[in-house]
Amino acid sequence: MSLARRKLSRPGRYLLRLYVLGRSEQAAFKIVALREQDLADLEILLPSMSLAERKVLFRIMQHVGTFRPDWAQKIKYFLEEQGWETG
Amino acid sequence: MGDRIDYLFQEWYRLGRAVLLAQIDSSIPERPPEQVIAESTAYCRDSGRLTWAVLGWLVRHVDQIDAQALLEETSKTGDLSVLGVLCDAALQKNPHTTFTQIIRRCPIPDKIEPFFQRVVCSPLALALTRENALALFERWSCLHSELRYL
Repeated sequence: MSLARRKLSRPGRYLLRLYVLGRSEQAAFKIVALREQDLADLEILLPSMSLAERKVLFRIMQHVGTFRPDWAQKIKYFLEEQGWETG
Repeated sequence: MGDRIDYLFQEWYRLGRAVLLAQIDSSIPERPPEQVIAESTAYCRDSGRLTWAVLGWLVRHVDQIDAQALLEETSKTGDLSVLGVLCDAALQKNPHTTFTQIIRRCPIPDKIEPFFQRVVCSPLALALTRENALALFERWSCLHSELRYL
């Protein structure tokens, strides 16, 4: 979860923007980091992801490819290792 | 194995490590830190989180360790080469003579292999580990690319 804060024109008032990260985003982050503890978490996370969550993960991979092709490739290679069809 | 690692996390929590637990079990009997460290070395290769918890404790509490007792316990219930890596890593952060004494008595394995078991199962993780292997782990015939002091 990420929190962005912007000061509003009225003194002492702030606009809070709340971003909730789903399991697909978590999986993408963990694949990019790929530390031992991420591998441990991915063992549980990936098999339990629904078809919709998998589709979101593919979209994240495509989006990431627009600014970090190396990260996108890492996600692709890892998912393929796990037997996923990445297209 | 997972149950035992969970139990060790409870013990590390009791010893003062900031480990995240789903539920705190205050009923577990207290053991001397040497026993907890020794048993943890047997499971470190299966859990990065456990490894960094042990390392963090060693760095901060080396004064509380009886080196002889730790070596004896580890030869019975743990892995002396893992203890060697951990003490070497701790020594980089806290140059204490106890670490040097322990390191001298820990054997270096003949065969070079990845430190963590999970890395062996992923060709991508293994390739990245080989590419970025740290000298500290290589000294102990281990391949690993990350060092965390919690």
